Amino acid sequence: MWRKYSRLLFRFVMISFRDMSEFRIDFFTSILHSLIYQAIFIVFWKSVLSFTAKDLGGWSFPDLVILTAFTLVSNAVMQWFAGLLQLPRKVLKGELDKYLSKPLSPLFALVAEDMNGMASMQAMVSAVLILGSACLYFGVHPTLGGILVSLLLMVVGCVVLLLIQGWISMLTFWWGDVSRLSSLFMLSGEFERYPINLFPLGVRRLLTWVIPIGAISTYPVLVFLGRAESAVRYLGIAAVLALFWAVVFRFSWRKALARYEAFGG
Amino acid sequence: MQAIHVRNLSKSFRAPVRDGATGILARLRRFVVNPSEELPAVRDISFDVPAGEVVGFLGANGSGKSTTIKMLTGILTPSAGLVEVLGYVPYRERIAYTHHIGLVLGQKTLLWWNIPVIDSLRLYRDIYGQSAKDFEQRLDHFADLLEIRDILHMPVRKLSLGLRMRAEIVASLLHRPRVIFLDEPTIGLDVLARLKLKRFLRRVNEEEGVTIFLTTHNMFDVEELCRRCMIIDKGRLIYDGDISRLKANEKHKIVELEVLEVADDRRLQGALQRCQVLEQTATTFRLQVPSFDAVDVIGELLESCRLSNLNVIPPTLESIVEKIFQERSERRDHVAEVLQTAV
Amino acid sequence: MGRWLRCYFGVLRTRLKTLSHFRANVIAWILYSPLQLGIIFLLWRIIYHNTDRVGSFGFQDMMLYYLVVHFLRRIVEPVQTVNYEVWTDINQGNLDVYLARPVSFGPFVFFRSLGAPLVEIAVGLPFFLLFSWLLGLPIQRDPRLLAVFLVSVLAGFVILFLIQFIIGSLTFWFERIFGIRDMIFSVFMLFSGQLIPISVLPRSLVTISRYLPFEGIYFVPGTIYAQGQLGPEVAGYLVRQLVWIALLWSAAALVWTRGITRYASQGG
Repeated sequence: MWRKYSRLLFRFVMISFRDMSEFRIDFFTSILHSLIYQAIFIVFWKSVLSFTAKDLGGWSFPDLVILTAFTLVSNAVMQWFAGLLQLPRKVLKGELDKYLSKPLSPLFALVAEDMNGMASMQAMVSAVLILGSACLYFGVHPTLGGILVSLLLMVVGCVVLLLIQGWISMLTFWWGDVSRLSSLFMLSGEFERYPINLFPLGVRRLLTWVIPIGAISTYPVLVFLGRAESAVRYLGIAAVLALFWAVVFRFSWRKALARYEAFGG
Repeated sequence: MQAIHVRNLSKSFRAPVRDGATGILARLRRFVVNPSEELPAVRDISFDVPAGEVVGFLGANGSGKSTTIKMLTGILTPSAGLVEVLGYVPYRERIAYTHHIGLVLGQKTLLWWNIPVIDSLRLYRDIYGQSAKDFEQRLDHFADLLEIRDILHMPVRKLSLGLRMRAEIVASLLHRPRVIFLDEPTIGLDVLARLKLKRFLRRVNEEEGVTIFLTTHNMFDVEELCRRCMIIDKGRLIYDGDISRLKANEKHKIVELEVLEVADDRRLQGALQRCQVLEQTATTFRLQVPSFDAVDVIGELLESCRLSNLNVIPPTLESIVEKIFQERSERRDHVAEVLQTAV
Repeated sequence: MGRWLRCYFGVLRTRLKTLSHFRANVIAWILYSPLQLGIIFLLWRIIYHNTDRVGSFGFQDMMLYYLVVHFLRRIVEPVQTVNYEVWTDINQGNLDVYLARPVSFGPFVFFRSLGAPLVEIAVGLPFFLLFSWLLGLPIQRDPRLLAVFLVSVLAGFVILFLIQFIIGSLTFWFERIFGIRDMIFSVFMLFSGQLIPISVLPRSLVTISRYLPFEGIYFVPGTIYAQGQLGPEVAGYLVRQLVWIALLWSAAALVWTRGITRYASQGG
C-alpha cells in the first residue's frame, strides 16, 4: 500500500509542477509581487519603529523583517495542502464520488490533487530572498541547527493549523456552509505578522495552546535568531497539539465519510 | 454465483423541510428548529444479474436509478436491504471491491479536469496497481477502437462531450474490470455517437465477458444492446424482463414523414383517417398510429405519396411506463371484478 | 421618517435572507469584524506602551482612524469588483447592449455599483457607533467636520471607482490584466492608508504618496474624522482629491473612447 501511495504522490507532485515551462513569466511576476507585498509590511514596521526609539518590546527592526519573511515560509508549506480548504466545495458538489468508486483514499486524493507546487516554490524563493538579504544586511548569523529546528517547529505548527482547518472544513458534512467559520479561523492567522510574546498573557496562551499561530511565526523566528528560551518546549507543545488534532481529525473523518455515503454529497 | 445480487434494497435521504414560508418569523423559526424530513429515493428493489449480461436500467430523472448505481458502486450506503456485487458488499469492502469495477457517470466527469487525459489514465493505472505493460497494451487497443489517440494529451476541460465520454469509457475499462456501471453515458450525445457507443459496449461484452449495467432514460440506448431491462419509477422496480416484451406492449407508434409530392390524395386521406394527426405543416406530418395497424398504414402512405423522409419513432420511456401502469390498473380492475363475481 | 425606517428594515431583511442554517456560521460572521478590529487594537496598544505619539496620532486618534478605515473598507470594497465586471462585460461582448442604447457606459456602471455600498452604510453605521462607544472613542458631532468628512468619503469612492474602471478598460488591449492588477493593489494597500496612516510613513514615501491618487481613498477621510479638527492640511487633501478625480475622469474617458473604437472595429 505504501508503494502505491508513494507512487501516486510522486505523480501528483509532478503534476503540480507541470505548468512550469508554460508560465515562466508568471513565475517571476508572482515572486516580484510577493516581494513587493512583503516590502509593504516591512515599511509598516519601519514607520512604527521610527517612533518607538528603534525597538518594540525587545524586537528590533531586523527581527521584525525576519518575522515578516517567515510568513512566506509558512505559506510555502500550506500551499501543499490547499486541497483541505477545497474540501467543503468538493463535498457539496459530490466530487468525492470519483474516489469512492476507486480503491483510493478520498482524503489523500482530494489533498493530493490540489497541491500548489508552483505557488509553494514561489513563496519559498521569495522567503529565501528576503531572509538572505536581511541576514546579510543586518549581520544576522543563524546557526545551522537554529535554522533546522525553526523549520521543524514551523512545519509541525503548520500541521496543527492544517488539521484544525481541515476539521472545520469537515463540518461541511453536517452543517453545509461553514465558510464564515473558516474565514474567522483564517483571520486569526493575521497574528502571524506580530510578535506573540508582546501580547497580553491570555492572548499569548490562546495563540500557543489553542490556535498555535505562535508555532508558525514568533517561536520559529526566536529559534532562528537564537533567542528562544527553550526550543524543546515549543516543539513539545506543538507536537502534543499535532497528536491531539490528528486523533480528532481521523475520528471525524471516518464519521464524515460515513455521512457523505449516507447522503450522497 | 450472480454478479449482482440485490434484495429489498432501499434508500432514503434526510433533507431540510422547505415549506416556502417567508417572513422574518418563519425564517427565524426554521433557523432555530431546523426541521428535516425523509425523502425515499429507492424503495425495496430486488434483482439479480448473472455474470456477462448486459442489462438496461431505465428510469426518468429522479426515479432513483442514479441512487441505485451509487449503492452498487459503494458511493452510497443503503438505508435497508442487501447488495452484493461479485461477492463483495460494496460500501463495506470498498477498497477490495472497487478493483474489479469500472464506473462512468454521464453527468459528472471522473477524470481530472485540468490535466491531460493521459495523465489521468496513468493516475488510474497507479490507483488500480496495473502493470505498465498491461496498461500500454490495453490503452493501445482502446485508444484506436474509440479513436481517442489524438486527444490523449489534451486536458479534459478542452474536450467536447462526445470525446470526453469516450475517454471516460476507456478509463473505466483499462484495468480489466469484471463489471462496469454506466449512468446515463449517452446524455447530450447525438444519434450517431450513441450508436457507436452501443456497438462498442456490445463488442466489449462479447470479447471480454464484462457484465454491463447501464442506466438511461432513452429507449434507443438499450435497443439491440440489452436483452433484459428493468424499469424503475419513483424508487420502485416496475418491470424486470425481456425488452422485446416491452416493445411489443407499445400501443402506438409515432410516424414522422416529409412529403415531396402527393400522388394519390384519396388514398392519403384514407391512411390519415386511421391515425391521429399530432402535428402538421405544409410538407410534414407527425402521426400517431395504433401498433397493430402501423405496417399497413405506412404501406398506404408510401404508395400514396413521394416521400423524402420517413421516421418511425421508437416508444418513449414515458409512454411505456404509462402503459405498464395502465395495464396494472386494468389487471387490478379485472381481478377485482373476478373476485366480485366470485363472491 | 416611516419611509426611511421601512427602507432600512428592507435592507436588513435582505441581509437576513442570507442567514445560513448553521448557527455557528452565523456567529462567526458576526464575530469577524470585532476580531479584525480587536487584533488592530491589541497591536497598537503594545505600540503605544512604547511611545506616546505616532506621528500626529495619539492612541485614541489611531484607534478612531482604524475604526473609520475599517468601515470605509466595508462600504467601498464592493467597488473592487468593478474592474472585473468591466473586464467580463468586454470579454463576453456584453457591450453591444450598451452601445445600442443612449446610455453612457461609465456612469451606468457607477450607479450600478452604488447599490452595495449603500447597503453597507445602512447596516454598518449602527455598528460603527456601537464600536466607538465600546472602545471609548469619541463620536464626532461637529457638523462642519462631518460635512467635510462625507465629502472626502464620496471623493475617495469616486477615485477608487475611476481607477477600477480604467483597469477594467485596459481589457480592450490586454486580455489578462490580473497580474498587473494584483501588483497595483499591493501598492494600493500601502498608499491608500489602509495599512497605516500615510502621514506616519517615512518622509520619502509621504512625498511619493502625494503624487498618487490612492491616499484620497482611505487616508484622507480617515484622518479628517480621527483628528477631529479641520487643520490647515485638510484643504490640501481635499484639493488633491478633486484634482485626481478630474485627472482620472479624463483618463477614464480617453481610455474608454479609444477602447470602444478598437472594440467596435474588431467586432466585439
